[in-house]
Amino acid sequence: MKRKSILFLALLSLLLGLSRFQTRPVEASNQEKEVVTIGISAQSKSYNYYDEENELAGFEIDLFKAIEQELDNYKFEYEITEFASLFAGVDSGKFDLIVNNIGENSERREKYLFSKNPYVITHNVLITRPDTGEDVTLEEMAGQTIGLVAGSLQAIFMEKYNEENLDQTIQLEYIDTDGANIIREVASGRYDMTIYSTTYLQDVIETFGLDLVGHPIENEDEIQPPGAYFLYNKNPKSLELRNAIDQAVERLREEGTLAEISEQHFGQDDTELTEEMIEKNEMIDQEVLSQMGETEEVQKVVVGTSGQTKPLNYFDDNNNLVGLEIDILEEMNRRLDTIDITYEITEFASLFAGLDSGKFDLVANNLGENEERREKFLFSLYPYVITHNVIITNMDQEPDLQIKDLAGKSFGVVPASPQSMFLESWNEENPDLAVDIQYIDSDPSTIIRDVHSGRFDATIYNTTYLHDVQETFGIELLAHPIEDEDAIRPPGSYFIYRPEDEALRDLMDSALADMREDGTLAEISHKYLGSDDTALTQEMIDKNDAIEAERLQVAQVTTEDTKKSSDGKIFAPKMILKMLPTILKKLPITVLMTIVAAIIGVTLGFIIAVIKINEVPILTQIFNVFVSFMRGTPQLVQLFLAFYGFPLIVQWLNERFGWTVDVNGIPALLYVFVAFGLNEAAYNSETFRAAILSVDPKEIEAAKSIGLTDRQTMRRIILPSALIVAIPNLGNSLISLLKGTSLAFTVTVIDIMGQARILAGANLRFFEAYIAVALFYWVFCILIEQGVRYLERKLNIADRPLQTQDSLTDVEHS
Amino acid sequence: MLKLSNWFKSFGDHEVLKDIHLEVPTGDVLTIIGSSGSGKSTLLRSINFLEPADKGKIQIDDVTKDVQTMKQEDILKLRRKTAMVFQNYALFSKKTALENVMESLLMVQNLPRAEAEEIAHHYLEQVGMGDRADYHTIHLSGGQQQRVGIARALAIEPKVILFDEPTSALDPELVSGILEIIQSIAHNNTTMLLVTHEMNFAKEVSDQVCFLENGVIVEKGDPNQIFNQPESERTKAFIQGIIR
Repeated sequence: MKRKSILFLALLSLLLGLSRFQTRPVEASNQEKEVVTIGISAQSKSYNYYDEENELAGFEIDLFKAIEQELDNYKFEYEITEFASLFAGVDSGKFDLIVNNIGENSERREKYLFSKNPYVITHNVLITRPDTGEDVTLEEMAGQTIGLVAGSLQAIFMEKYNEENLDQTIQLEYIDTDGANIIREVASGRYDMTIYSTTYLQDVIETFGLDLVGHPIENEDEIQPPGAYFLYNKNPKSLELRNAIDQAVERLREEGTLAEISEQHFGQDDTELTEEMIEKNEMIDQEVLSQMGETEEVQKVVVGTSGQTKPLNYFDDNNNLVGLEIDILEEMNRRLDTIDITYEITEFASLFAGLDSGKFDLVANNLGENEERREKFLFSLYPYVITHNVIITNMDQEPDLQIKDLAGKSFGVVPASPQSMFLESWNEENPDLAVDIQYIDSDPSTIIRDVHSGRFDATIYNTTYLHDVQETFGIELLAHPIEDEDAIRPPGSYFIYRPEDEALRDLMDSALADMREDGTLAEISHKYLGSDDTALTQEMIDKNDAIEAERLQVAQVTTEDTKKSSDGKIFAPKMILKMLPTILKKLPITVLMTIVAAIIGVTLGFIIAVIKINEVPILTQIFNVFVSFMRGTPQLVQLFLAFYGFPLIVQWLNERFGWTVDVNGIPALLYVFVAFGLNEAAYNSETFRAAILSVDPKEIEAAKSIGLTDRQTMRRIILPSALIVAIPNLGNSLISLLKGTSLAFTVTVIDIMGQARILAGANLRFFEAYIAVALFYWVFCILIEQGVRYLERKLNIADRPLQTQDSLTDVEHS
Repeated sequence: MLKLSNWFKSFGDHEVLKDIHLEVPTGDVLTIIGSSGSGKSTLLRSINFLEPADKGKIQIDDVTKDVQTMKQEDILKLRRKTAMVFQNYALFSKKTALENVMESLLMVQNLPRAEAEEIAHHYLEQVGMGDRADYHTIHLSGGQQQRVGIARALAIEPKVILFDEPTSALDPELVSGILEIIQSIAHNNTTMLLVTHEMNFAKEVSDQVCFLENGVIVEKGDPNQIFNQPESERTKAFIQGIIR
């Protein structure tokens, strides 16, 4: 059994590792830009979608490429999710803005910040078969059927139309599917008409070789005032971003670039604004701006430091925290008004643990780089001060000595320090030139003074300490540069951050770069070190640039080639096969979600069942409500509540109690695990409860009578019987869970279902994509069924054959 | 030895055991007779704390406990000194005969598996089930199961064994076999309480018989007295009722 669990854990961690590669296209970054996350659905043909080479393409994608070139301090990244989830995403701050051919309505205007003017004008048309006629109007179509997506703008428009034209109503047919399918249904005759934008219609017509006509609609303003906008969260921080992007768009409009991009994707220029539109939007904008006011949202940044590292960070005679690092950080604080820096003093040994756990946002303590730290944390791009380790001896020694010149002499070092390890390996590799290592557990200044006093012949420390000791105690010592001091510690001290805090690091680095340019950094260095130790060599710059480039792994979407050999056909079975390998790549995610949620579900479900059976006060009532709720609400709702509700709760707590919990660091997968795990637990708790109660009470009594404790009784007597009863039901639950995970894409997790939808968005072959993914689910379910059956057989001894045949007939023996 | 004093038990309003006083010397066999509903089963089950009494003191050898001040550990300790053989055998259905007997040895006495197996085999042989040790309970007849039940009780090496109508669920031809076994383990330094309708057997094996009616011990004495010369009218009526 033990080997099985190890194997299982290994499998689990493998899947967990694989799942980190959530694919989305990321452009190579230039280090000093602010990252802006754009939410898109990647399923809007012509606007944003995946093309044949599986690159993100479309009018909006090209538009943003152009915008990025206009602005040199932003870097755009895309996050892909379902259309329906875009709004909640920008609400909660997951996206900085959303772009998806989104029109305006009064609700959206209320809730979100719009780009000032639309970037493209879209027109909705009435789509019919050619034989319906030319220039068809709604009035002429009374009594006919129209296909609509429930809750869409078109549906709302048509419902209103029917209310206002009671004698000319049109029959509304609601269907929850993609626009392309509805349009095809008009061609097929299932519906007489539908309403979609011209661009979308054009695309569907071409892909499927349909014969349809689009007729202008009289008051199409009411459906969706023509014009697609970028939507932002309504807060002062977004305002800056929006204005910057708006300016860039206007420049592109003036230059004619915007029109060009439009022609490229739509075949015509749909970007011209009418005077009316400009005036209207100007008015709306004025109102919005005055509404928003000017509340500064400042990000708190906590710096972890030891306060014991003179002259980099220490307390002066008036007990103020000062030092090279403190001055640098304070200057940054002054220059960046979106952050507010505070300091937390802790032991050196606890700095990294504090950074890890979120106690500090960055640590500063003359920290150098090593492999481990580089791997685990994020460094400022360049060091803020260069420290060189030197051999320190008394003035009576010759200048420019190397270790080999000091063979046999005594070196004072702190045990287990980089210096001591350096000398130890020196002694190992050069036994005939060995030095006398004297270990002393003290601080740098004391050891350096001990060299001055003659107690040690030499020591090794960096120039910053040396300078400080010389100043403070008025003594003079000799510093000898070491040949391969890199071996002790690569020169250069860095601010260190958590890997996910790239935005913060970039922000701080930009201030640092400014300080370096205008000489402030050098000034501070002079103040504390007596010289400018901040200059970067070209070598150092190149090296750090290389490290940064390597760190940013560019994850390209690697979906397979989907040739357009499917054009013009109603059904293309070949596409199913073509899409299978790509969908397969996301299978580990689906499996991972299922397994983790199942584990949570079984464990928690069992606990709840035991609590209920034992009628534990308070807990029983709580879980009754819990189970009722989790079984009584749809999984989708629960998923949304977790994904969008939790960050809001944390936000409220942060405001209320002054916490600084960063919710955006939580991976979306975690929400899936929790929501589905709890759901499973609710269902499983009933299964377990029934199973446990089905155990013959007489056996339980017998167990008690021979002296078994309750726990032993549960483990040895109740569980074996209960499990046999529970397993078929648990198997059903598991199958249900597996299929339920198909909802994960609504909260940005790309599993096999999400991958299928993305592929279909690119080639509009929705039916074929869904068949492909259905196959995966089916096979997986069959595997689960087989597994359950095997377990049943193994546990159920009733079917086991007898050792001999005669026991039941052997009456005399009884 | 076993001693009960001021032993009370009610189910809701219904008083089932009223102020029972009982003393059984070590190694003696006490048979409890009475009509259905008289409280015989409840009495036995209360000694084993399957149905804990409401009030009273219980003493097994030198350990005395008051029911109202007892804790869960005390109950467990007392349970380990008593063993019960049930009317419906109550074997562990997912285990073999051997595993049934081994259960207490493994879980309560914490013996290593090999040793437990050996001891369990010994007891199974004692009840004549040595060659069926690896049979699952569903493959055993009623009589065979009851033998295993007895072996399981013996394996605890209890101070007191309680037999709750051990043969009432068996076909008549199997009854004698069980009674033989009970006979063979009686008077072996283990105190036994027996509830049964097998009156002849009771006469033979008991040292004491007590007649229980409506939760009260009406009469107690040696078998000869109870069966042949009962003092109380009610006892007499009962005995006459059975004999007929």
